[in-house]
Amino acid sequence: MVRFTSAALPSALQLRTEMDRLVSSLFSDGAGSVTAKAASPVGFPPLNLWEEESRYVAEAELPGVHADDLEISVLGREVAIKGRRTSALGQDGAEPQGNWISRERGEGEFERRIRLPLEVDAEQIEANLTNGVLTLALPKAHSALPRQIKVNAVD
Amino acid sequence: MSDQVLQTQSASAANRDTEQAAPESVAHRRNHFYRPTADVVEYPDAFRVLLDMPGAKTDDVEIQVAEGVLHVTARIDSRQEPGKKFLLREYGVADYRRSFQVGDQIEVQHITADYAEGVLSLHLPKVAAVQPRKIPVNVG
Repeated sequence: MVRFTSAALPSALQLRTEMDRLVSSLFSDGAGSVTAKAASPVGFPPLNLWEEESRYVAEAELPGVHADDLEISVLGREVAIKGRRTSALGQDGAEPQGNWISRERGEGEFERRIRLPLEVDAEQIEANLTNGVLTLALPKAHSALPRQIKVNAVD
Repeated sequence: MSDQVLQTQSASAANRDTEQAAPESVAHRRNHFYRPTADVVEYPDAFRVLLDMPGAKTDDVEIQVAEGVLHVTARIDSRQEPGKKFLLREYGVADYRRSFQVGDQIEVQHITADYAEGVLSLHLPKVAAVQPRKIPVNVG
């Protein structure tokens, strides 16, 4: 019988940081650095949020999260992003049980709440999940937009 | 995508560098890459690797095997133009790069990959010699 031993495996497929570094220098003429994305100290998912004239845009990286497993809610100035990610490996009953060699990708439930400087129009919010990037377009509420007051001249 | 590209490293690097138009983004890309987080699971007949690479486009993901090393790279369009008025800036956006050493046990010609929902999934079949073999027992 040919027995499969896992002792032989480390050489079969290795995750090596030194290799990353070596390769990065090969690829980029020695000018590149390769780092992992830092975990956000304030919660998951990390957010980029920017302000435009009439709206805010929030963006989060959520690779492997299905749109169905994502719940966005807005109340006044508060935006909540809730969801969960399940592993695509090893949990599916149809797939044979495998051995984890390396496990870095997180899974489970997450929730993040942020408070915007101004109220947004909950009816007009658009959420888009493309290639694992969630983009939320949050139009400022009408009452929050600057309004020009016409000055009537009285002679 | 489900193809495996065998190219020389230098040729690919040269293409990358001349493709870029905006000098600022080239400078940025040259200086910094993100290493995607990865899960690796081993099955009797293959390895599966999942890499988080949000924001890539299928056509911009490149997989190469050269001299026993599997290279995964993806070019990412910058979504952080200068001039944006950021209120929160908790993560960066740049190209991805990661390498894995693949031994003789991997059938390099039959590596397949697909990219969906920001996750690159690699299937690395083992060569027959290292797969478990079922020996039929003859009933005498």
